[in-house]
Amino acid sequence: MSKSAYILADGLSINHAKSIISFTKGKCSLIYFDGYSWKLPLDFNPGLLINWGTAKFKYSNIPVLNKRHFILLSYNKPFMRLLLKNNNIPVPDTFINIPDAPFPYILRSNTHYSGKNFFVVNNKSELDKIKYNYGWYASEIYPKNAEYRVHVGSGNIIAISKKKF
Amino acid sequence: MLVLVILLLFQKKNFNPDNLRANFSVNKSPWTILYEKDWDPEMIKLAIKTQEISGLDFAGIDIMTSSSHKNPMVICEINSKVGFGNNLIVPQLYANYFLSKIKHYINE
Repeated sequence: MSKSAYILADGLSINHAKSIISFTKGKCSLIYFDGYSWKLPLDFNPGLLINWGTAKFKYSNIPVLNKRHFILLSYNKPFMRLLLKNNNIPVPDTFINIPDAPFPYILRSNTHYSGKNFFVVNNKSELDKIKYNYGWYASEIYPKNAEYRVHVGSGNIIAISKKKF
Repeated sequence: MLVLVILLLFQKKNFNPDNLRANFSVNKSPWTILYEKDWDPEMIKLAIKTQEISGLDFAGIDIMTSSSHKNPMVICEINSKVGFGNNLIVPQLYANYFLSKIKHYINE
């Protein structure tokens, strides 16, 4: 039985994975997590697994694009910022210890997506109204002119998108 | 007049002074794909270095630019679960990247 490539996805990203697969000329299939278990095809014989942002699927001895542990690290937004800062990559000033952050700032949970758990905090009384937990972080308000999403794959640019304001 | 009244009612219904969520970063506006000729070499360099440091093979890297900040370009975040809205070009480009990897790992 010949080996195949699979994209692993869960939640809202299943549709993104399906969209990509529609352009892979039948050379790649979807494996998705339905909230209870992974839906595997009967002839599952992976030669390559492509993790579309999910860290739930456990595997061994299979080539993988985006390994689980790196995905788990990428979920932790303040950790990634501090890692980048330590590698001389410019990031907005980021504070894990919230009281250290000078007002005003943006308060976020350490794992977030789609703009959830996002607050602009101008002073202490505003901070006191927000129920935040350990693991949240404060970020300086960066006076941005533009925002881009750069899609990178193995050291090459896949695409660059610019957000419209 | 009727439209104005409806608009005012709608605003009142959605106004909540306790809700401090002011998400001007992530809005509903769509992404526009840039032509290669419009790519900024500095941005490319920064994004590739970021991907390498992250340990991820592929990622969507959010970059902000500013004309008034000490850092004219910063990394906002790294996404392993990359969103691209309803765009049909980006998934095709990802498919091309994955096909090259499938060729390398399976059909080499």
